[in-house]
Amino acid sequence: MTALLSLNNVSRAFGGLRAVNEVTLDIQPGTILGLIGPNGAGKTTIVNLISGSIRPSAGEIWFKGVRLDGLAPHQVSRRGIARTFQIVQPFPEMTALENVAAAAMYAGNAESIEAAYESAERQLERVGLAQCSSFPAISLTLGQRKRLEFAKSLAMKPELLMLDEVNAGLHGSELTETMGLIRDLAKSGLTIIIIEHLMKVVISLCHEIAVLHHGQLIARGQSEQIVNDPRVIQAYLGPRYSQRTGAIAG
Amino acid sequence: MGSRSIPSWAFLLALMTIACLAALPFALENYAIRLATMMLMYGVLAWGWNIIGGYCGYPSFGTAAFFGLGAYTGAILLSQKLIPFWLSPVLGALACMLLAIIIGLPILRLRGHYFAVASLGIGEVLRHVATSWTDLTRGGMGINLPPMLGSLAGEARLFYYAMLILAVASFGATVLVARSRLGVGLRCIRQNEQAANMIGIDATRAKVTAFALSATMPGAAGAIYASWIGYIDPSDVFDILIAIKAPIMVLLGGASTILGPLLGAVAYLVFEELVWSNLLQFHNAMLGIIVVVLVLFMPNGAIDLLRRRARMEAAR
Repeated sequence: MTALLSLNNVSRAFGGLRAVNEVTLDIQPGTILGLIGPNGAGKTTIVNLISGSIRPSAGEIWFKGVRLDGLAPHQVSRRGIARTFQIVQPFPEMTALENVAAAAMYAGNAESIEAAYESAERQLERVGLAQCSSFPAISLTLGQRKRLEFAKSLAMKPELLMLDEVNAGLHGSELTETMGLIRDLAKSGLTIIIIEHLMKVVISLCHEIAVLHHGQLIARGQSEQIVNDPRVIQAYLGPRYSQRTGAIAG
Repeated sequence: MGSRSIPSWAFLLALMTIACLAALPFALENYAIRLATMMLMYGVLAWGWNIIGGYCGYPSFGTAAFFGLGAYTGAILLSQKLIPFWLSPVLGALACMLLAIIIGLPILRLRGHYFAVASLGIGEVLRHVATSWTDLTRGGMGINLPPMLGSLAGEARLFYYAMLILAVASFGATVLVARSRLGVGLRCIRQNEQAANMIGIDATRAKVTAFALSATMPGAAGAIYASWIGYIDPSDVFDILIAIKAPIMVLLGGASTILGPLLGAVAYLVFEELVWSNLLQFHNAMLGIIVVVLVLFMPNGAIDLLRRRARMEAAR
């Protein structure tokens, strides 16, 4: 099977700091990949590199046979890659519906403005925000804004969706809902990259996990392999964690 | 959201207003027609600014540059009898559109104050060019344009109608932008340019389009103004006050709204007439005071104030 997205020896330096260091990574269509690692490991930088907001210092990024690095963010998003931001980025004065419709109109390639609004209504319904559609984005709670980001990304009709800490700050029921949504999306064939600190989310959702440390990919595999990998335990999880989850994963 | 299709009452109201405006010269004397022409011209300048400064959120001080370029384009071509009058606003607008594209590509990379200062520079450079390039512009001597019609009253009406047509076109363009994909893109750019890029908006292209469109309106107005007044010189048409008036009018009425710019233009003109006739010395100081009052008490303009009042009434 050919990969949907490939990173070939991608590096990105900020001054003297190598935020991402020769990372090579393939993602198969329809899978959920978890990207984990300590703070500053380079997870968000990888998302930024793929989405075009920064360019690699070296290496290549390919998506469906097209080279992505060097393209502007709007070109990347029109090719079917959507992302959410760790810090939510709504258009504050626009209503929730308008926020999503804007995404449908541009990256989602809606054939008319009416079609964009219809698609936006469906996406808001899907993420459970239909009752807030006429509220200005600025009046939404953090949990709602996160779901708004989600709806915006979905309206872009992506093939690859990158979720940067989409669960951070969510409480119990919200978290369960979001996880259910992610699972449904993956079932419908969407390829998803998740950046996440909550290991229970990562383990229950992801088909595969990639671990970054100091900008390098130190491990990659299925969850049992990862939680028992000594390098991952040392760099990120800590010995106590693997004792606890060894039982669950095993 | 029902607001996506134009309600028929709004359409009727617009038609009736235009009809009333078209009948106005028959009811007014020359001085009042002159004021009404000025009001329409201010409306055009404000609608032009509203597209780049209001919808897109890039505070331009380039209105004077485009007004002056339009005025000179029209005046030079007309004084040499190269074109008929009706073509002068069209060519003035085209010249400004071209300039806005060429200048916009580099300066629309700047944001906030940096963009404002850069846009202010365009007018200053053009003013110097117009002053120094005496072969073409006659420099500080200015350009005289021969009267078009024999009668004063006929001229007053002619330019009133020319400005009215331009104002209707500017209004129409604003409605189209506000309701189009471009309008949505511009509003996204104003609120969060990075996020706008991420949802597939080509921000550079949208901004340059907005800047070019917003430049055509003062460009055409400048060309009509040149024929109307019959004499232009660099310090008159590249006057920095023109660049300042445009945003003040828009902020007064309500930025990124369709009718706000016209409302602001009317309010500003009334104010200007009162201040000019009563406080000749303090004219510019009063302008400064309006700016301060605006920023402090109604940063979103009169339209917003009215809307909020209507909402409060409705909630009662």
